[in-house]
Amino acid sequence: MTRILSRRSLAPLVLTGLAALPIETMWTGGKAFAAAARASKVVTYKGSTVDSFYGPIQVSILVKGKKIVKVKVGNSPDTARSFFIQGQAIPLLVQETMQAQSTKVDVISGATTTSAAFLDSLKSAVKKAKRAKALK
Amino acid sequence: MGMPIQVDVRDVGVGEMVVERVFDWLRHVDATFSTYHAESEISRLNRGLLSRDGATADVRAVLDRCEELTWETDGYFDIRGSHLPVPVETAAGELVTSGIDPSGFVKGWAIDRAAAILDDAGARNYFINAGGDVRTRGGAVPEGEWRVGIRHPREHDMLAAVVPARDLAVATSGAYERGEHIVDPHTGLPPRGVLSVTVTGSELATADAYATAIFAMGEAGPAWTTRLYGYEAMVILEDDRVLSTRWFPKE
Repeated sequence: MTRILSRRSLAPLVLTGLAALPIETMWTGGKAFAAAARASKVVTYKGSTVDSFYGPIQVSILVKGKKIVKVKVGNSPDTARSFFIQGQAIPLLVQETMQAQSTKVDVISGATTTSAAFLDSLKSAVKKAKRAKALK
Repeated sequence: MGMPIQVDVRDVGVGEMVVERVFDWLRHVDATFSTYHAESEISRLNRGLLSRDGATADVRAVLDRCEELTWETDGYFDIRGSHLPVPVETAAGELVTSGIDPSGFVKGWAIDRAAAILDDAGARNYFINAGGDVRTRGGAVPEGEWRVGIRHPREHDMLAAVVPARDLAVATSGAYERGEHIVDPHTGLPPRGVLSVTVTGSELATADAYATAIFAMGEAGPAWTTRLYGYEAMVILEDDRVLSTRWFPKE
């Protein structure tokens, strides 16, 4: 069991073992570091597509200034399926479209552990970035 | 328990000794319930070395509550995992098909009990996060609340929603969880059409069991959530529709 004891909220661990990312895509560093980071550009490295229990998964990492600034994960486009709830609309439920937001929170619900397929694809993206010397 | 446990206590008067007691309790739960420990009560039950009547009170209480939840969820939450045979080897070396794995329920139950330890020590503003299932009390600042982000099921560095929580448990089941491929116990197959289910309410163990069950129901999950009493739910479907119960606490 891994123990995290805090008096203030820690930046949540998005990936166990590989890198710790804040949920907001900004990171703090010294002024010189920040200037150097701003000067470099963002490069995307795509991981291999890995089969998982729920379909193919491909992870991409966006690298800037020797750091991973964003991680994206998606299924391939041809696994999209359309579903509908059998029967009529259910008036007791509120329906919206899923949002994607990046905002400051205290804690995150939803597994902090990630699927093996996700990690495999991510590792391959990180390997690519390291080979290109974009990451240490 | 093989997952990160995060304890964040804001009350100045609560010392680290109390948090030590929390982790002592969690270690005890692991030793008692883990199917990865051959000598745990659950493992010995599965191997036929222990009878249910011979198990300790906590184990019997957990098994009783799990049975209730199986009934409540029309069999979609079931610690037998799948109604298909789960072979387990007994001490005599035979294969029997009566293995149980209550770990999905035990995780939340252990945290509910851990919260009681903090309460007894006078803590009034804290959260405990066990692998993405969260139990909160009070707020990040006194009189405030905790802001609980719901992980986006597709973009793992984004949030799908924010739940303002005060004295609330928040459990989320998703298709992206490692190793825990939730299946429909009636068929043994993973459900289709659902990306993520979040349930909120007063107890984490119950919220977690409901989230698991609703996810296992697939497209029929949202309709079942209208039967919830005292708990609220949000279901994210694969076509990006989000169906929430009327009072689901969303920012």
